[in-house]
Amino acid sequence: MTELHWLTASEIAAAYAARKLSPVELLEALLARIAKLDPKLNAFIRLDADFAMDAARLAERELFAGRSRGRLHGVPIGIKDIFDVAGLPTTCNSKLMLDNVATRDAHVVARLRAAGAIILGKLGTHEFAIGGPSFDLPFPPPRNPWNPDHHPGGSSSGSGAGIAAGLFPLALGSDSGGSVRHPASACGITGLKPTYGLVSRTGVAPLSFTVDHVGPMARSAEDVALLLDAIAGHDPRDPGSVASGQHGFGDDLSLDLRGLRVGFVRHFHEQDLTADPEVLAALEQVAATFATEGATVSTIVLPPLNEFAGVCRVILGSEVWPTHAERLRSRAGDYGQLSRQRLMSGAFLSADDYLRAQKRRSEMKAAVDEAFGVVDILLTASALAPPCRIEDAEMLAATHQLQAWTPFNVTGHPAVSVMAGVSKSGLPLSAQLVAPALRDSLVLKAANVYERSTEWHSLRPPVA
Amino acid sequence: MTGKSADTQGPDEFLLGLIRAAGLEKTFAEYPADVLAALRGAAQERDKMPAHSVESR
Repeated sequence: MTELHWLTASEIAAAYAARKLSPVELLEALLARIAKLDPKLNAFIRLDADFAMDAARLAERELFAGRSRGRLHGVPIGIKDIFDVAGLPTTCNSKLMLDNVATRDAHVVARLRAAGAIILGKLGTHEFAIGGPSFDLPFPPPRNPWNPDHHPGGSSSGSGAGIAAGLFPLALGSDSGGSVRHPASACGITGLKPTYGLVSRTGVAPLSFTVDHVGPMARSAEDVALLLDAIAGHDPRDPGSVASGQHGFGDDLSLDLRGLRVGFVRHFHEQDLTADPEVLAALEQVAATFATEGATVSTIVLPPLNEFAGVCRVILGSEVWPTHAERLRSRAGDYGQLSRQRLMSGAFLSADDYLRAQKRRSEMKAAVDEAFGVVDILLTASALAPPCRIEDAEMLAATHQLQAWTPFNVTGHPAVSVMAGVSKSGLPLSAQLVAPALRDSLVLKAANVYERSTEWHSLRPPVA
Repeated sequence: MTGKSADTQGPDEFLLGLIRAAGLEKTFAEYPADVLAALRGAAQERDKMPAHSVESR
């Protein structure tokens, strides 16, 4: 059998069903690995080992008594520390929130508990999912398992680093401008920003109510689909939630690529911004892989990437400002510097700016929908450069916007980041696949077929 | 808003007016560089959007 810490959630479920593995045995192996590796990776803000062990013992009793709650029963998962977990502080990695003990679970956490998943603890994040990576926060920034001197991406940094290092197979992240897909890209894992509204945000610290998404992260599209199955569903307490009726994402991930129409959005990384040559070469390889498997690859033109970024940040800045305005006026020193700067930009945006952004947003969404009239999925860059060194503030600032994630926060389409290579310096490269709204199953199938065609996703970082 | 005077000579009256309107005088006194960075950030993102009429359909 594969080393226990590298088992995927799907493999864990199969091993439990065959009585070849027990939840307690798996958790003990993961806790040992966490003890060994997390002191240098900082994936956890708070590990709740005792609680997790109690949950593992309960899962073991239920599973071995034949009372399975499904494929996540007894599977350990990490939770980004902006999600409420009853009884634990939701710190948002901010001095302002250290005593903010949650009294009830976030909607998605409650769903995970009901599915029998084992909550391991709270994971590292940029402050309020926006200010980072930073060294002036209560908890140190997570490190990249491929090279701990490098940024693991953010803001769901602990989720990405911990999955890639084999500390846990699954994690929840949030994505308001790439915060699931950036760590997925930087850490060489798979991360999905689902269709807007497919997954509830109730009990998750908000940034921007029209661009915030909750997303599943794992080491394969198959596991991402499994996690999405557990967390997707209508929640009347989230005004953005949609009653899609979608389920069974992980039931059948096979897809015949013959005849699939792939629209390659080249201008994002060739004209609007300039991708690192290794990223560019990796993207061409992804396109070639789809073509080899029988797909038809054509070039698609969407609105310019910078325009998407501007619209996303004007909307996000405007929507987040009211949440933080009073504290930024009275307790600005309790924020880290990056949060302070980024959150305050909303103070200087007008109603006119916001309305123009929302108007342009509807046109951009229509443009992407129109593209889906001639292609089935889109292929775009994810990160346009490999992750830089985490202590190089100048490089972090320079590479902050070298990405193609914001377009799909603006439009709400489902978008998944998949590993697509390794740079000469040994860091992950990635690509992004996008599908029509509420076709999350299609984008996961395409990601799964790609992963099985290349197996980049099965590479493991040297920290292992 | 040009931001130029803020970079080189301190904020002009127009920028101070924006800061006052946002209720950020105290924050500006404590963290002037951060407030000015936020001002610049807002202007940069706004400038990425095309001029557009909200009335058009």
